[in-house]
Parts: sequence; structure tokens; C-alpha cells
Amino acid sequence: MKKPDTATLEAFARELDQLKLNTRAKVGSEDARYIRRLIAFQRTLEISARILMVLGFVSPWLWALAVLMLATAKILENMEIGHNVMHGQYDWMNDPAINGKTWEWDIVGDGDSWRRYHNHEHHTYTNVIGKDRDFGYGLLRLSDDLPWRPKNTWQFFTYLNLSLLFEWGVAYHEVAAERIFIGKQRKHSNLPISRQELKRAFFSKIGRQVFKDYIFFPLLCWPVAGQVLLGNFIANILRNLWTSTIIFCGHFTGDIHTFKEKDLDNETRGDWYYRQILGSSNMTGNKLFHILTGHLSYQVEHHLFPDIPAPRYREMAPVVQEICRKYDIPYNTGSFAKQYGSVVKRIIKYSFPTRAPKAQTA
Amino acid sequence: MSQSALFTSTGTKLLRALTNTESLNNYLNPILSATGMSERQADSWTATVHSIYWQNDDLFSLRLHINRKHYQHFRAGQYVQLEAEIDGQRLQRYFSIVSAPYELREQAVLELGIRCIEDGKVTPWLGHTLKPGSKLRLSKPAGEFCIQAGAQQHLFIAAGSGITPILSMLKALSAQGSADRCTLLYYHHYNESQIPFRKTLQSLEDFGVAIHLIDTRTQGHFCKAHLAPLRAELCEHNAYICGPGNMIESCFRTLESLGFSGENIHYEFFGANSFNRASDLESDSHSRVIFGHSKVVSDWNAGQALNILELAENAKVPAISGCRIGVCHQCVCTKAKGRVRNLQTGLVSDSGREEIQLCQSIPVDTVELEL
Repeated sequence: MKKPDTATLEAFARELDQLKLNTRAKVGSEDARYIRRLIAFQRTLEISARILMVLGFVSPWLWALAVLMLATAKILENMEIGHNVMHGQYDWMNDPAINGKTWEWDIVGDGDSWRRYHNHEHHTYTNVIGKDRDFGYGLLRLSDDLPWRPKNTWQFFTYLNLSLLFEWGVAYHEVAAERIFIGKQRKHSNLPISRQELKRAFFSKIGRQVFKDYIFFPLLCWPVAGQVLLGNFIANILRNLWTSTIIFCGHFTGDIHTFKEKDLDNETRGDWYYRQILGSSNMTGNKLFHILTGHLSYQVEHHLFPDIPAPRYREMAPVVQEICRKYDIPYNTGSFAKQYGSVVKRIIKYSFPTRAPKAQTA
Repeated sequence: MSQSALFTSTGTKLLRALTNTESLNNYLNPILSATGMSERQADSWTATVHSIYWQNDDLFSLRLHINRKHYQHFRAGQYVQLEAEIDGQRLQRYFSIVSAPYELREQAVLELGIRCIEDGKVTPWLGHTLKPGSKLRLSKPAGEFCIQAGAQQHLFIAAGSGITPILSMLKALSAQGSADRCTLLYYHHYNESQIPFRKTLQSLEDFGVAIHLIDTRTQGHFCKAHLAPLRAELCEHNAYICGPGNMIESCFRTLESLGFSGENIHYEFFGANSFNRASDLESDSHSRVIFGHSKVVSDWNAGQALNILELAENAKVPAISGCRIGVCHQCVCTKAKGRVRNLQTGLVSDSGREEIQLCQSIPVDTVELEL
């Protein structure tokens, strides 16, 4: 596929900018009401789940229901609320309780570190090999851009482990833990905080999360501490599997493109939009599915407009798709099964050394 | 650490660990708000709109019911910060209180004097859209433009909507039986029917306040001759001036040239909204950014074409930066006041407190940042 010329991309960018302006103009009390009601619902669901879990001794079904409720509450908090609020999508409301700079989410990864890394590196340099550390998370080989190593042979199992422990992977990854703990101390760092502070934030957040789910609530319900501990553990694992799966479907599907650092030279707004579209993939589904993915099922729209309230992606997507069709730019979407199947295929495909391309016969 | 401080600190830590929020209010408020209840905020309370009364074409008074126990320390002449949620967005403005403390004590009523700025975001909404019974939020009253205890005589000089805090003081003084020690010079450019607060002024006059309405179109601005009707020697007075900056400055000079002591002159600009006019947009090319925490002021001019992030970096203000293309929100910073233009959308922001992206903003007027 050939990249469109500069003039085409410029016109393309103008249409997307216009869509952003039009949508921004519509954002208002409806969006404010939605996020507040969702937060209220999520907090009620979490409290109910924690209470219900204690009643597990009455029937194991109650316990199972409580675990599912807690997992759902955590998924909603992480994806539709936390992720989107931390992108600054609701900063326009001017509500100190729903602020992108101060929101802290219910996972072991520290919010400030995530804001610094994810919003900046991943969203600016999406799928640029060497710049976007999210491409394979430094664990998986997902394209030919990286040379094959023997450890890639069993990377499907590495992937399964990463999915199960996703929140821990994210926590470690966002602070680039291998750099702050092992790497050489740089003389000049452009990070706004020191390594010492990074480490403190890293351990303090882990400590708080472990305290809550594995010490405080089990001890609070002492006679049934075991079932609460196990329930919390399983809820966290379910949340990990769901978030990991959704996120892999957003950037590592079969038709996704990768980029080189030199692609960033003199990148125009049109080039940037183009790269975001080629580096992201959507999933189709109903409204509940979209909410549970935090609207990351609209990964394309999220990458084009990271600070527009995510529920608006639902109405933006058909317009974006139409614009892409007009400019002959691929728009990657499909069912969950199709997209997830292609992710698994990609992980397995790149587990093995790439064969040299065969000479074209025919 | 005292026992109660230890208790609070442990409570905060526990709350943070369990809910990931820094305060109980931040945890509860979205729930309270979603269920239609009043939010809990430190030093800010819900008020109910009683009525809106237009004084003339551009000034109106907003009467509010509020729980009087939060306002025990309100003094005549003070102002409040009002917060309204307009189309999902919380916007804050300062307004002078027109009513006197006794009205609050007796009727739990607080009246604000508001000049409607036609192309503003807040005042037209308050004046035209807001309905009696609606809820607003008010902060604690603040301000030091108040009646001086022990003063013999009071000389009030007001211009335009600068009359508002002075009305509160005159009402309070009249209620104390001191009306005959008060003189008001009110500078305006209204026709008879457009003079705001006419009824209030009339009743103050009935109480014994000496009121002189001065039409600037025929009688000019404040000068020595306008002091002729004073009831006592000028030096026995305390002077209170409220109006635009240049008016205050000229009154101050005139009074000083008459040998009046500067320490007996009290004044307040009603500038809180005065930069909110469309005409200011044209002064785009010369605006300023005040970096409040760093105590640095930077001038901005169109020629250099710097965004506020670059301006901060040039001035060695410690700004956090990220992608520099408006995506990552790393450089978001609280703007205390002033308006900015967004480089991507071309839209001009609100003039109140809000978060802005430094790399996407240029100042439109004098902008103050918490940086």
C-alpha cells in the first residue's frame, strides 16, 4: 500500500480536525451526567461486591457472583472511567473530583507514571519501533522489525502469563523499571521527577493495592478471610485477562502497521493522523461491550482524538470510516473473534524466525 | 503529632488505599451529584435562586437563599465566588454582595449585583437562563473593602456597577442609624429610567444618606467642585472608591491634592469581569502571562509566535512538557484567570479557573497560571 501524498493527507487532516471541532461543540451536560452516573454506579457495584463476597459461606454461587461483580467494577474503573479521565477527556468539566491530572486508578500501576509514559510516548509515537515501548512490551516479537531470538519460540506462553499478570506488567513497564532499578543513572534526565521519587511512587502504589485487596478486606471479614482473599485475587486476574485481551486487539491485530523512527522526521498533522489509523484496530459490538472496553473497541478514534470523551467515539466512528474511504486509507475493524484470532496468529507467527521472502513465481 | 492529627492522617491514608481518592469529598461528590444531592466541598455551599431582577439593560441583581450559619462572618462590602454548572462545565466568577449582613440574618437572603457581559459565558446565563429554585455554589465572602470602624464621616464614590459593594455598606450603616454620616457620589451615564437600584437609593435617601447622582456626560468626572455638598470637613471623612481602575486613580490623586490622607482612602476595582469584553480580543498581539508560583511575568507578542509552554521555558519557569502537539496532556496546568486561545481549535477559553494545555495555548489577555 502506498502512502498518500502530502496534499491528500492535508485535506484528510482538515476533515478529521473539523470532525473533532464539531464533536467538541456537542460535548456538554450529557457527557458530564454520563461520567458521574457511571462513577456512582461503579462505586456502588464495588461496595456491593465486597459485601456480597462475605456471604459466600451461605452459597458458593453468591461468592461467584460477588467475584464477577468485583471484576466488572474493576474493569469499569480501569477502562471506561480511569483510562478516559486520565486522558483528560473530562477536564473541561472543571470538576476537581474528575480531574485527569489527579485521578488514581484501581490497579497496581501508579497513575502518574502511566500518565507520563502512556499519554506521551505511546500516544505520540504509536507503533514506532524503538519509540513506542508498548509494541510487544519488550517481551514479545510482533513484527519483522525485531530480530528473532530463541526466547521468542515460547512467546505464546509469555503472552498468556503477561495477560494473567497484566496489571503488574503495566506497573513495571510504565516506569521502565529495568531503567530505574538497573540501568545507568543518567546525568541529565528530562523526567520531571527523580528516580528516587519514581521508585517511591512505584512501591507505594503497589503497597496500597496489595494492602487493600489482600490484607485489609480479608482481615476485616476475618472468619471468612480466605474466601475474600481468593475472591479478590480472582477478580483481579479476570480484570487482567479482559484488559490485556482488549488492548492486544487494539494494536497487534493482523493488518496493523509498524513504523520506523525516520517516519517521524518532519511529520505533519496529516502524517500523524495517518500513522494513528494504520497503527490501531477497532472491534464491533454492542453498547455494553464498548463500555466494558472503555471504548478502546474504538481504538482508531481513541488514537485520533485521545481527549474527546470516549462515548462520543460511537458517533464519530462512522464519520471517520467515511473519511478514510474517501481518501482510500485502510480502516481496520472487525468482530472480537476475528480481531483476537489475528492477534493470536501474529504472536505465533513471529515466534519463529521469518523466512526470506520467496521469489515471485507466476 | 497530636492525637487527632494522627487520627486524621491515618484516616486519609486508609481512604487513599481503599478508594484511590485523596479526599472523602472526591469519592462522594460524583455519587451525590449523580443522585441529585448537593456536593460537599470545603468552604463552599449550595445556594438556591430566589429571584432575578433586572435593574436596567445590563445590570441585574440575583437574590439567593443560603444557610446563614456559613456566613456568620460576612461584612458589608465583601464579594463571593459563585460557581455555576453550565452545560456540564463548572465556571466560577466573583460578584459583589449588594445586600447587608442584617438581610442575611433576618431572611437568609444574599443579593449579588451582576453586570451582564453580552458575549460572556456566565453572566448572560445567570441573567437569562437561570430559573428560581435552581442551585448554585457560593464560596465564603471575602474582601477588605469594608466599613472602617471608628470613622466619623463616610464619603462613598462609585462609578457604574461599582455601586454594588457600596450599597451593601450604605444599607448596613443606615440600619445602624448612621445614615446621616454618609455621602454618596454616584457617577453614571444613564438616562433617568436606566439608573440601577433606584428604589434602594431612594430608601437610603429617606433614611438620611446624602445621595448625589452625577451624570458624567453633563457634569464630568470627579473633581473638587463635586465635594461642595459635603456635610462636614473633608478631613473628617473616610473615602471609599469603587469603579474602573483609571477612575480610582484619578479620584485618589484629586483627594490627595486636597490634602486628604491616603490611608483614609479605601478602594476596590470592579475589574473581575472587566476584561471579558470582545474589544479586548483585538489586543491579542500584546498580552501577558503571569507565572504565579514562580513569580515571573512574561510578555507575549504575536511576532514571536510562542505558545505558553515555550514562553515558560524561555523564562526558566519549571514547566513539564511532553509531546508538544497537544496529545499527551503532560503540560496541563491550572489557569487561575485570564483567557487563552487554543491553537488547534482557535477557540478562546473561559476567563475563570480551569486546566489548560500549555503547548496548545496562547494568551489573549493577562493570564495567570499556577506554575
